[in-house]
Amino acid sequence: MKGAFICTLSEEDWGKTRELGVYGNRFYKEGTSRKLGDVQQLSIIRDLISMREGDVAFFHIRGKQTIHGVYKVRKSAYYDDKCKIWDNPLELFPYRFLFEPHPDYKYLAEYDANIEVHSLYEFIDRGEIKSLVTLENEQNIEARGVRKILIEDAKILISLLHRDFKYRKTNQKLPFNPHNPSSNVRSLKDCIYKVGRIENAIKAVLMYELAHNPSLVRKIFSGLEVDPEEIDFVNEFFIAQTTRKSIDIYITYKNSHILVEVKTDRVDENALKQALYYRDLLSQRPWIDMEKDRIKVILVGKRFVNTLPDSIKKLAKINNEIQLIQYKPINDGKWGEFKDVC
Amino acid sequence: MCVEKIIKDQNPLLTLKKNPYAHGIFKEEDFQIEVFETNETKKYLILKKKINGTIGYIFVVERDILSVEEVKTIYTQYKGIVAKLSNNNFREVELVVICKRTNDEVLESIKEYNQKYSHRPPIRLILNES
Repeated sequence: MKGAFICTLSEEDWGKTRELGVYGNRFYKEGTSRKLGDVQQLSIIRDLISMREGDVAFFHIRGKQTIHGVYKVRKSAYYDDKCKIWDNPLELFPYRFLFEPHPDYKYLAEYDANIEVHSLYEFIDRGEIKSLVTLENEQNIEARGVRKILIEDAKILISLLHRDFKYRKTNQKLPFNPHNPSSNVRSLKDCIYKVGRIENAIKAVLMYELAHNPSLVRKIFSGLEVDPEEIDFVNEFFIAQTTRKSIDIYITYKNSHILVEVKTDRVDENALKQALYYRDLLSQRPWIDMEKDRIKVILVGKRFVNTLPDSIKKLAKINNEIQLIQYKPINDGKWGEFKDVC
Repeated sequence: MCVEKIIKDQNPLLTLKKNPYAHGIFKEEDFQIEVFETNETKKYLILKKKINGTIGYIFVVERDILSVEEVKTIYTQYKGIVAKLSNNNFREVELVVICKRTNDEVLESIKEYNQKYSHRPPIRLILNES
């Protein structure tokens, strides 16, 4: 198990989604014919782009308030605005990925095993689930269809699906007839735009690189032990659940924790102060052991205020766990390159 | 630059142990203070701040010469105390360093720390000219 995702969809789309093994995220604002703005389109790409074949997927059905699983990703995310699958007259749900019943838990998926969302919330309330605070859309918080979750949280979901399997499943085995797109669909990696102008664009690049580029992972973990294949990471990670303070990316490997704060353009001293505060908040989570764990802060930006590198060097004399990484938009803003600053 | 106070005392930790309000480093009107732990070998003192129950701690450490290496060592000790006494909540533990001599490099680092960790209590530096 490399990565795990929870994807939200409506009750009416679940039957076809499950049977065909294809999930789609929207292009239009729900219930309208207005295209989502660039920020939202890029947030959808950002949330899906780190998906790899073999990752685990769960599905959250909004109306029913249930979570279904366990499925395995059989094709990572791509863009298909030609092939109509769902009954919605306008929406093609073009940001897609393919999945199948997970071979290790085939019996669960074949009988549409599910749990109530409230079962999950009980674990969140007890602090046992780390990478989720809610699946609801809340005011002032970005609405998201797909959320990457930590593998350890996925394992809890799998155990809950087993716990409730006897009571929460269909009577009969359900058919699975996998959909396969034409070979010329575009990978989401080729759908990024406005890198350097919209924060979600560079965050999407970073999420992709964390999943696919071991040398960047080593750069991020510099000074810490790492096996790039074994890291786990999530985006929009809630550091403080009650106040809903979130960090852009949280990466973990054994006893190392990395908080990544991304700025579209210039990183200033306030960004550093905020990230250091978030590090302190993370250190208070019950699952952090300050004797064994190390928490590093990384600030990613196109530029840095002149005083920042010097400031970090001075802080390093007391506590050396802050790193600056600079990015440069390339290919007309369709991708980004990263380099160490200090 | 970030030296908060200058005192003259042959044994400041002993003085503070006997009277936590000595030298005016801590003020009676802020908190009730009592000694929680002392360590003469490692030259530190932990004070407990109270108002209506315990509300925090003060880690007071003494060094003759405060070098960058010493600051790092003190900070590691401080982190351990924060972990032990306040569940990793830095807001609840103050750090006070008493030293006879230091250098600009240390002063600049402490100044930077106090600016950037704006949500933590600042590191207070007391110069002892005894």
